[in-house]
Amino acid sequence: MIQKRQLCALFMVLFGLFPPQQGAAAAEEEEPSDTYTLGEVVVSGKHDGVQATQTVYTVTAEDIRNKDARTLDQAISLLPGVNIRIGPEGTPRIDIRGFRTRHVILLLDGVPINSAFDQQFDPTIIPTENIAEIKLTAGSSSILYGQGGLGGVINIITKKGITGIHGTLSAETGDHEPYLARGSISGGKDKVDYFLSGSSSKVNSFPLSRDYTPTTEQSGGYRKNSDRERNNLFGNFGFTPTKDLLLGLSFSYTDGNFGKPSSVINDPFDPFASPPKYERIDDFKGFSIQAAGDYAVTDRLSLRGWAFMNRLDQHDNQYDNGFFNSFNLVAGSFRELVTTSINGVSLQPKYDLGRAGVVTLALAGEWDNWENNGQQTTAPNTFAPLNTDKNLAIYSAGIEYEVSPLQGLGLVAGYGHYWQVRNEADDNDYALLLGARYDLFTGTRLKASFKRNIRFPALGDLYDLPQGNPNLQAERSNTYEGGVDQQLPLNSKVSLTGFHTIAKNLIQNDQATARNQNLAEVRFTGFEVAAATQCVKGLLLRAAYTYLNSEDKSRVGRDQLQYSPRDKVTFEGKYDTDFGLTPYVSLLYVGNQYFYTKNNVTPVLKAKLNDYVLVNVKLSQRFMNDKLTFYVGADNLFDQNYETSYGFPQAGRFVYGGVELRL
Amino acid sequence: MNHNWRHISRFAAIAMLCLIFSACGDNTAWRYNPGPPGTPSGLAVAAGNGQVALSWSAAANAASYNVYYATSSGVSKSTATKGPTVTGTSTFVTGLTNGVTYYFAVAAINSNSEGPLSNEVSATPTMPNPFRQADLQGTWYFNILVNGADAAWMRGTATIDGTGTVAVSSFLDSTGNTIAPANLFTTMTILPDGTVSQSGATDFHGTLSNNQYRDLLVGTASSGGTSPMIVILQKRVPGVTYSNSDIKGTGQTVAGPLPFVYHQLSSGANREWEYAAGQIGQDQAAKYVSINAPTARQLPGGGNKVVTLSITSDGIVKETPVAGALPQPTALITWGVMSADKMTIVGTATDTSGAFILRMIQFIHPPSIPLTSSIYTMVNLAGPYGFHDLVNGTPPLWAHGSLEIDPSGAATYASYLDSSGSTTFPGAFNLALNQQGSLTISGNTSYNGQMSYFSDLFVATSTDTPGVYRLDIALKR
Repeated sequence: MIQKRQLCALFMVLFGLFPPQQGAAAAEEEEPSDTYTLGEVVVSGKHDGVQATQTVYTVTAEDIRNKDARTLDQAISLLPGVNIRIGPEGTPRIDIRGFRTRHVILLLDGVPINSAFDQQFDPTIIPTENIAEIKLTAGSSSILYGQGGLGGVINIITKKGITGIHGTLSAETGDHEPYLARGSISGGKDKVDYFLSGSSSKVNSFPLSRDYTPTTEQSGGYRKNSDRERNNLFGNFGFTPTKDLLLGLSFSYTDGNFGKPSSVINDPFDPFASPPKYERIDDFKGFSIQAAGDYAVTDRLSLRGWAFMNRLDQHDNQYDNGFFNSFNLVAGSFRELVTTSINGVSLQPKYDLGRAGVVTLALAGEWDNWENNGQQTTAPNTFAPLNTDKNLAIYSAGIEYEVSPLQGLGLVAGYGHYWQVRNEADDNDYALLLGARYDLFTGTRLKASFKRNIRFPALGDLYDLPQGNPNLQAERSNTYEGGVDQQLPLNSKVSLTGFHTIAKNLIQNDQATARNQNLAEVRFTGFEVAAATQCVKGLLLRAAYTYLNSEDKSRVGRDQLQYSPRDKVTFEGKYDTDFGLTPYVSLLYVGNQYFYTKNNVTPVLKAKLNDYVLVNVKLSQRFMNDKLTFYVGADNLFDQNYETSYGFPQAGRFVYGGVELRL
Repeated sequence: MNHNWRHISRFAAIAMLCLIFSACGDNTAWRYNPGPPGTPSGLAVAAGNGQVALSWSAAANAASYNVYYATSSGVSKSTATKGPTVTGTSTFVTGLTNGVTYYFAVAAINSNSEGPLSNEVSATPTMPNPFRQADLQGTWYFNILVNGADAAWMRGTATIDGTGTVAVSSFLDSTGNTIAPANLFTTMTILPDGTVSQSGATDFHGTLSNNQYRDLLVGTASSGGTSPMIVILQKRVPGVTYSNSDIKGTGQTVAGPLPFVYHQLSSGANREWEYAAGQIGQDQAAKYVSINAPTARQLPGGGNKVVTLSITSDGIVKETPVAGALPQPTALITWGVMSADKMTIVGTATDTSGAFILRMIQFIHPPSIPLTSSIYTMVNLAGPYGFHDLVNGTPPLWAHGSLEIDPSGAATYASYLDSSGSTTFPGAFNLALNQQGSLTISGNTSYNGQMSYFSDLFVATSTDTPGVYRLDIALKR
């Protein structure tokens, strides 16, 4: 172990292998599109604004292309504070600073993608070919995002057409991945711009590591029930009739199907293991549409607004066994059509007070609906209906004030009040934000913030039988964070952020009553160190370390929150050569995460998931003046056999190759 | 160009360091290891008709048990026939040949390994003998529901000796009396066909079940000479022990939650029947799936877990409310007697309205054995039955007699007598049976019954005419 620590320390001094060169700057691949700014909820004006007081990480389209990220979770997996987990639900879950997915707001051009049922989301149905950038705000976030987001906010901002006509076509294939085809066309002329993209992919299954130990439930080779098909279509249109008015319309459509691999442990007396479930989403269709506008009423007053509709239909089926051909024999099997929709409107007047600062109001209304139709097997050939139709509304009113009273000093204060209107009871609560940043020296910025935030219970928390509880109250969190950003010579920078969060009233299933209750409390304390350099022309190096200490005060016998790794180390390196060859490598280390026996087992036992290291590489070569690119790559190059939840092995080495043509 | 290759070579060095760093992870996933299981002890066997019943004491660290048997002594895992794998501490081994001596042993297993074999026992399955007086001998638990003017429930323990003399050793009734009425039971005599009578109690008529253990005796009589009552006695079978595994589900990968139904009749303040269905989870907590009665009932727990079951080693079952679960059932069984085959629980109680109830709970399948379509069939239902009824009419009645059911479900009476002295047969009827053992009669939507897993009895409730409610218990002869 000592030897490994020495190697790890040596590894972290790698920057010394690349002697600095004066005036060097990495060459960036030219993007044929711009950013759809109407998709940003929080816009920084001439002041650095609220984001300067917070922890905001950005993933650009080039970053996505470098690592060949095909889905949202792959695109952000290396960001500090982010942990990707795949467990019994079969879909990757994005945790931020220990908070689970339902505590993360996911926006696509400002449209919430979280499910109205449980406020979670499936990042694998979100393609990456239309993403201009992803802004991840960890911890304290702007009041303008509304309620929820105790862990953070992920805003996906899509591409926008620029003058001329541009397009891309790409095709990729890999191990048990017959195809991934992507294309886009964009352009603009005078006052109109457009961006259209589409993709289609099919994965038969993912490979298991050669070190995986077969069980009765899962043999070696390829993972059962891990197939996935997805088709996407996306478009946005911008119209600028006057220099003061910007209008936009965007839509997205997705459909497909996928399996949810079950636990490989089929031992009912393993106190840690969940029983295997044979579940598939045999069909899903999602559609969203948004109309947005930005109008400069005067030189001080601007008005932004948008209206959106987001709907997802899923045929969710749990089969009797691994043959996936019957529902009627085993108690617990079910088939259901789940429809969720979120419709909303939002208005953001903003007034620039000059030296006195900027005031932004956020007024929003959101209407959530969840409908379930299906049946569950209660005994062989005996069924119970699973029919539900529930809805609620959330109204928000927020105000955020930014001011820079002194040179180098920025202050932010925000207050939001939220109302949840339900059939049987209404609830209301508030959020408060205070933030400050100070430029101590040129290139040295100190920042600090505090946020009291809330999250209303979702429709599933309230009404999903049998554990739903219509009397639930809002969850609450207090987050304190502070940090320093330091610019270094030679196009380098380093940042350090520390945080402490107390979350109370978290909704959790109460074992005594088998109902959801507001009884959970968790605490997170940690820090994130990130560094990046482009000290050499064509070179980009990034490294980060995240430390997270979690306390689970919700259940007797637990200390650390399960599946919350204490340590995360990431490294990324890319080098663009003059002759078009670009090697890329990334490394992810996750360590010291624990899990517990199932909730109904006493006494509570604790076990440790193996630490793991994933190394991804990609080599691409550009031709024809960067119009044509060939690439090959391998994810999990060293075939690590790892799990992010007990009994759910993840993909081993995956080799792929493709070609991209820019028109 | 040279500086490019220089940087590429350094980049390759980074990749090599990544390879070294990748050794920081362990490539073998951690798995729970409970350690080796212990050895089961106290294996006992009782012979039946083409089958035997086995029971044993639990072994340390055991997840389940393998049963081995052979036709010669010295059972070994390598040579013996491997029987059912069960999670409880008892099972039946069926499909044996009458007259052949079999030798049995069990071994505990878990995810680590299989443990050593238990002690070896032997038994010879035989055709059932005619009922003998010795079948009544032993310790019996009893539950009684009295209807009419003397409405009450009574329960306790009694012993019957070889001459049929009954001595009550413990007693409790719905008013709190702990002293049994004089002549609650008199000397019992059994006929070869299983009919039981009591000396001096001319209207007492009982039937002893012809099941594996002959441990269920149902009878009807008049309390105090006027109030009809139904009497259920359950024998404490030597060698049969009970544990929590007998009253809980086994999870989706074994046989799922433990499904149950019950039928009950009330006397006194509220004289209705009630039947309900539910399931018990691995945590021994039960939730109701449905509840029915002539007047509407609230589903206890609203579909959530509402009571937790516990059981003593003697087979006495108790329901405890789950804190905060509402609405609670109107009656809780605090002294329910589990049968030796562990498929039936009988109990009495007073409900929240002050009515006295007798409840018979039946499990649809054993905890660790998934239900198959071959269990509840019309062929298994068919046969001769002795039945006993308690009827809440005006006046209240008891009734008993014999019934014949053919494989089509057609039921015809062979004898009938009720407490009014009527011997007129009720009309024949046709029973329908589904794969969960639920019995219905077309044309009488109030009728609901449950056949037992081992096809030796069924229990049903129904409405004869408006306001006249009936509990039927039929034992296969």
